[in-house]
Amino acid sequence: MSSNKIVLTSSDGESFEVEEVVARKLQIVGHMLEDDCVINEIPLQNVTGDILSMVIEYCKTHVDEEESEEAQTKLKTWDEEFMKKFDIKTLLQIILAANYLNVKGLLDLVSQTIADTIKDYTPEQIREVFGVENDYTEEEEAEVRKENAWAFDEADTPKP
Amino acid sequence: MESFTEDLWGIILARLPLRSVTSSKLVCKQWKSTVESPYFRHLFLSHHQNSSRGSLRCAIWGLTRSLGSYLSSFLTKTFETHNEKVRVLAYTNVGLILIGLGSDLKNPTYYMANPISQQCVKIPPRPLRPLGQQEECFRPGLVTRIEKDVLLGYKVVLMDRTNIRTGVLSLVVYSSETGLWSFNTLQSHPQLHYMSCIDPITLNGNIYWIESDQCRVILFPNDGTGKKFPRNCTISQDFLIYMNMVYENRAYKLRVWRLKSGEWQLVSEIPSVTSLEYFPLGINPFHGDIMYMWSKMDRHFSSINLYKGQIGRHNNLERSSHGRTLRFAREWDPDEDRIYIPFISRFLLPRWLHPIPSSPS
Repeated sequence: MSSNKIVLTSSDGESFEVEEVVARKLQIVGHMLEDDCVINEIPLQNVTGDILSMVIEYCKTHVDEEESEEAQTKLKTWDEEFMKKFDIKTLLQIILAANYLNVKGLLDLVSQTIADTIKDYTPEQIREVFGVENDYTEEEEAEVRKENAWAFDEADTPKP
Repeated sequence: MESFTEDLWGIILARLPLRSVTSSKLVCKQWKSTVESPYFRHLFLSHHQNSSRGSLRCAIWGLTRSLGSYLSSFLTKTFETHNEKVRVLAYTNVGLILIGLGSDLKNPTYYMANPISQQCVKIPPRPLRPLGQQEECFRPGLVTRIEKDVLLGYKVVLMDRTNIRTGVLSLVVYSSETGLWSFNTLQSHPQLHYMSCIDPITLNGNIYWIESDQCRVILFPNDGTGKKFPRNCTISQDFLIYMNMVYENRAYKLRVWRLKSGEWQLVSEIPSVTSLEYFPLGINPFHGDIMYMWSKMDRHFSSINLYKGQIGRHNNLERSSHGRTLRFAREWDPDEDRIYIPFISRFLLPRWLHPIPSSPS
């Protein structure tokens, strides 16, 4: 395996020197390298340095995806601990970055983590957490609630 | 989060259980249109393709109670103002049930319902038969048409057995696509002599009565003796499964068959001491190698792995009050196998919430 180093630069000018195998986990980088193999500095315009450093941390850990059950379990535990470090706003930033940089494993991990967090949230809580504006009129909201009444049944809402 | 596109919200929301997906429609108009889009349906289904958590898909739906409990609370809530008898007449594997309301067994008022989403649609009354024709007790069946994961329509099929000995089966069919009832007769070969009282089974758009499949008759294997013997029929992993006790070469055997391309394939054969040792109740709808049995001799429920031959005794299974649901008699754990036998094993939760197709009025 080549130990060629590649420099990734974030939108706010922060630079990260990583091994080529790690950089290739970012499929966007992988494609660039295939197009022209002499690049050794890549600017990434849509991601800030703090988020990019977390993506790189994930890619470094996942650089050898071993098949063995033991290695898989270890990675899973690492993933769980890694996810605990971030609040939901940061997780959304990581999703945006993972989508732009095309790191499928990280995209799956973060979206599952967010889904598990908001699973039992009420629509009001979801709006608050994500800063989504409620654009229904009172009548419209009542109508949607009525049509989907089963999903709002108090008796079925898991107790916190 | 203005930079967050519909696609990205979709990726997150597709990982929620259906109950949370449904409640998320209330967040804002964009979320509602996202989760109602074909793109999202595809995303959700491909994500849950191999989901095995909760063998009856309760986890995919995010249900906190048992299916049987949803069913009974739905019936109570919806029909509590009626003083008439309510019965579930047919189950499907797309989450819909056919309900009959009224004490007149021959002509109840029919409803199509989804007991989880509590959607309920009344079916127009069935026209009476032309004069001079005898009314017989109908055995209702329910077939659904699904294309590309969308439920397009359903048919309520009532069969009249009056002229069965002459090979004529009379059907009265309601189609949601026309909103009308129609009469139909089928000729069966060979002639049928007996139509079992077991409810019809629906699978992949075909309707199976015990001993008949539309106008084609599929004979059960090993059924020539004319004697009574333990047997049962169910669905597992999209196959029609038949279980029967046979006596051959001075030994009893419990055989399990699978209907594939119109032919019965022998799946398994289990030696039995007497014809009463096991009564086959059903096959796990998602794990075709697990069969549930009632042991008449020691009055216990047991399960057997058809390939490994291991028999397990279930001390903690109990029968629900209406006798059609078996379940573990302890605290409900959503990840634990729940067993619905033999009737509710046909009432599977689908991987998607299908609204009941509307009919032209």
